[in-house]
Amino acid sequence: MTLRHRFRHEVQAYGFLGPALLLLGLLMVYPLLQVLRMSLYEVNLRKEVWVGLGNYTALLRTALFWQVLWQTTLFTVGSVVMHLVIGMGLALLLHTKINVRIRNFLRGLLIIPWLFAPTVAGMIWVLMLAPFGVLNGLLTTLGLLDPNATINWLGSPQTSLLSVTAMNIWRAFPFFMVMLLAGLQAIPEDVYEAADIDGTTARQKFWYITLPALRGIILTVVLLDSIWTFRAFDPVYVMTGGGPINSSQVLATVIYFDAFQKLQFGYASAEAVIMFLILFAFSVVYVRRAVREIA
Amino acid sequence: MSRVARFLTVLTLAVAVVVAFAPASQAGQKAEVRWFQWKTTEVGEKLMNELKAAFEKEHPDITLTLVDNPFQGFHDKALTLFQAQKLADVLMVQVDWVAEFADVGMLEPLDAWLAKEPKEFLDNIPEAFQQRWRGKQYYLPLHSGCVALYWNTEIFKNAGIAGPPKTWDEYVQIAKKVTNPEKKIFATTATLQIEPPTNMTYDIYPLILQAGGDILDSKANKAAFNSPAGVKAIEWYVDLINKHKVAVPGVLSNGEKEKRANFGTGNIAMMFEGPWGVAIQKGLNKDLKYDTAPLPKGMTSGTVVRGSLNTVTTQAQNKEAAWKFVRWITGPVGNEMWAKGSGDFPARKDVAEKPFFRENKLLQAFVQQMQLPNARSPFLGMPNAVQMNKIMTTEVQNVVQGKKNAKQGLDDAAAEWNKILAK
Repeated sequence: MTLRHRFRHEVQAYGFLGPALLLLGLLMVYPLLQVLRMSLYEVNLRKEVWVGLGNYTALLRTALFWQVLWQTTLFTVGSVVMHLVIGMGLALLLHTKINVRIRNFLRGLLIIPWLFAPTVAGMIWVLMLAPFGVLNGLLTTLGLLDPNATINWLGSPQTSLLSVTAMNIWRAFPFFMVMLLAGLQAIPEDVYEAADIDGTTARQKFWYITLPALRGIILTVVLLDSIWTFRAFDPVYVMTGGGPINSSQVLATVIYFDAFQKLQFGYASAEAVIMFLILFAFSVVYVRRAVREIA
Repeated sequence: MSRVARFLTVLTLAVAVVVAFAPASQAGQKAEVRWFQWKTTEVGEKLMNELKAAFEKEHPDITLTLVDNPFQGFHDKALTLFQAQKLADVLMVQVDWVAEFADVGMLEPLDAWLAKEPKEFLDNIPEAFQQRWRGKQYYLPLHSGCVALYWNTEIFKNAGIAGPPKTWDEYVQIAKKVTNPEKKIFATTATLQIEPPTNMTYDIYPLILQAGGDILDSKANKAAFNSPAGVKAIEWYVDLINKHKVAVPGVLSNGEKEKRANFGTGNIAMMFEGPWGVAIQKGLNKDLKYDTAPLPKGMTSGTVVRGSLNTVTTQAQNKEAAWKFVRWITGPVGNEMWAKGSGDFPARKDVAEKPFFRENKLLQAFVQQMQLPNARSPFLGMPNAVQMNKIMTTEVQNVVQGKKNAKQGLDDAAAEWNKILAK
């Protein structure tokens, strides 16, 4: 290919890429830069006053911000760990040699929570966790709760975050289950047969064959789930609104309230930038893994 | 090209230029008023179209365009449209948003137009809705309504109680008598859900007013509720929950929806609610046996007035036409049409006197309550009512949880309010 041809070829390639890059720039880069810019100003729709890093120092000095960051971490870690444990357990069960029809039926049944929109799942759980809801009724029937007593799962600072996390675990474990099941089905059977000949126990097979073979999938789904859960808004907003006494507040809800209720767009932007940086760290790990796999 | 052809070309071009650069509004062209509101989804298109037809008949030079958005997210949508310079001409707002929207420059003061109106126009608007923000009137009410008492006549009859409580003491006595946790019957629906923080309307502010306290000191521009009267009100309320245990469980997560659903089951003896609750209860349980009464008195009477309001926006294309619509829908014809069609409590006193409204017995307690002292709408004096209500809710939650006493909770809330008021 001559130099002229190559040049024309490249120009053509950029020509095709152009609209997509422009769209990406408009929809992602521009809002991102706007948020970064706003985080350095005091913004309330009527005025913009330059405050430099004032919003950042103010929020880092606010006890509520650290409380919310801690709660977001608990919510994320709790959700991701339980997604992995439940997803892995069910994937292993579905991978056992049972009737194919039953397996397919169970797989279809277990994926149902994943089909619910977070808001719908949240509303269902609000009804179940109400003082006179299904859960308290069940506990009473089992004799674990006094018939005249009720546990206010969503209205108690001790249990509100736990309840929201439980709903989030229930809704998203099928994603892990499906991904891990696909991974399990891709492990060659002869590896297990060779292990059987060597006389390995089931536990040894899990630790030394299954887990290492699923390592790539586990890392990918854990990273993706961490990103999705860390920025989750709907479960908390729908179920508790962050209350009571901010006990279930997470970063995404606090950013929304600071921006649209307090109209402190600069302060909320600073919170959003911190959230972005944390998520960016996760994304870098994920993207590096993806690039390495492609290479 | 022949001379004729050249002439025709020049003529065509000249006409095209004139048409292209002609001003948009020409003689005979109608002005358009876009009404951004959440009511179409609530009352249905039939009534809205009837209103539109009636208004346009009286104002043939104006076209009314209905722009509907569900109430959920309406506040945020209005702010976003304002930022995008696309706000409608007439904007419907809640009492909580007036000061907030006025402060960011979204609303046009109505004072110049109101000054030209006859005296009886404003005389017919309840006093609570004549409250100005920073000296200016930014809104007129579409419908109103204050909080009163709903009481379940069946539970009262079964407990051998003749009628609703008239004082706080009677309220506590009756509450203790009717509460039966084994049968899941409770006296009251305490609601302190944080989001949306609208429960202050029903549960807290009326009590502070009844205790002889005030919510805001408008002269000093400071919070006024952390007074001995305020403390007494919060202590009385928290005692219902923690000491007398007469409130339905779930106080800190119960909101308006749960409150209404609980009362609708027929297991709750009393509920603080606005006139809009009558239609809601009809939908929830049409067989429910209940009545309404003015709220029990503490040191004095007191209630909170709410309502949906109409405003003219600063981005209105034709402010004069927008005002004509706001004036019409708040006037005797428009307001009667609205009240009749929607079942809402009328915003005007003369419409509330009409036979069609008088016939609705359940709504008469609200008329009475509005006429008693301290029927107020504190939200209209709050620069950021949503945020301020949220602060108050959190602090009352702290008191219910025993993390603070009433005085500490109210002082902390007042300190936060004063920071917002000082801005």
